[in-house]
Amino acid sequence: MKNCFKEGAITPEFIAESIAHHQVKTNIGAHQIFLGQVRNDIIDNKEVVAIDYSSHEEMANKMFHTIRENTFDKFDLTCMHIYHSIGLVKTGELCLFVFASSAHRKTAQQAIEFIVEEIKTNVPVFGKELFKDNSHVWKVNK
Amino acid sequence: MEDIAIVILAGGKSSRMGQDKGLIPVNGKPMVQHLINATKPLKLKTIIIANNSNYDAFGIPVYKDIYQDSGPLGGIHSGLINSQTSRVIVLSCDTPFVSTEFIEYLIKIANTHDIIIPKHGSKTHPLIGIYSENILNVLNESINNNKLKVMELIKKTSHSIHTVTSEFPEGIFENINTKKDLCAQVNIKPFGIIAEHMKGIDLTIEIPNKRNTNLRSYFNDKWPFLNKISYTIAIDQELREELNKNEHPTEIAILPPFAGG
Repeated sequence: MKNCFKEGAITPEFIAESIAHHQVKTNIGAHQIFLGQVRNDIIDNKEVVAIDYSSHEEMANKMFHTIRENTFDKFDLTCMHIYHSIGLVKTGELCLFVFASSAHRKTAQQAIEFIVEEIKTNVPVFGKELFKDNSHVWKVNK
Repeated sequence: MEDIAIVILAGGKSSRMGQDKGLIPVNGKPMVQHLINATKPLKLKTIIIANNSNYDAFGIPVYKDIYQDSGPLGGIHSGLINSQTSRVIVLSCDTPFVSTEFIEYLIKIANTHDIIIPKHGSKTHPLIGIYSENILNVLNESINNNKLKVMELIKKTSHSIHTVTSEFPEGIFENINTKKDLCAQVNIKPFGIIAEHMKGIDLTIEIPNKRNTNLRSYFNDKWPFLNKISYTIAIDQELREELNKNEHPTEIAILPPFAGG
């Protein structure tokens, strides 16, 4: 089972490298990328400074795998990748990187929307939103 | 004086279960309570043979063994003496599903034999049956000679083994002998806000699995704070809430709302 988790934030360098790896695949005509970034939510007048992500990692990786299989069944993709942060990610840093590639743009666009919604709804990842004063709340996906 | 009484045997040492068998709950009630409920409609004198004062709480006369450490034979002996009737219907705590209908049936088929016991399929059930005071001499002798096997005693008496395979379901004779028969030992894995609430709580627990168990109600009763939290349950990483009969999962995860991405 592929491990889709990366410790800490996902760096722009990692994403750039990922894009570069796909230049040899010349049957691809469109890449679609989704990046999730930690937002400085204001909750009860306190500003979120980071999210500490935790997960049932084994179950989550199985779920990422299922999402991958379902996506390939539904969409004619050339390739796709999912990376999610585990541990501490500060506001402004990236916590989710989804990358879908296909011959034509529509397929990749629709696939990305499907994958991101599936991740938000079905993958057991939990986010502890931390404030400057060391207090916290637990994030819930809307 | 009545001719027949009911004797519930609860005296066993039950080392396999680590506690007195009859008091172990099955489907929310101590096993002995199941038998008390089954016998109530018959309005017969009912007594419990036990060597543990915890049985006094059931509102039924409790008598100790007269011969200590003599197994079921000691229990039958004490039952025959203390019931003050010429015959007794013997029931055992570890077969809690015996029904009122079955006991009525036993009384109906009672004949002139001194012991009448049922057989279902290939299995004979010597500790659910009718025993007459006529066996007391043989019983005393068996106990004194330390011959404590019930079937050996039965063979020495005038007895009848009555086949009931087509009359009753096998389940009413189900014998509950080990803790494994009753419970699944599982690791609870709480996450997120739930892990925070459960800090310091022992997460290796035993969940009854003799019947299907709805884990949400089970958890909400056991850990009331869960009533106020939204969560899902994953049994061995599969999202579902019903623990099946005799299922032994390795882990049960309690998952608060997802917040990925």
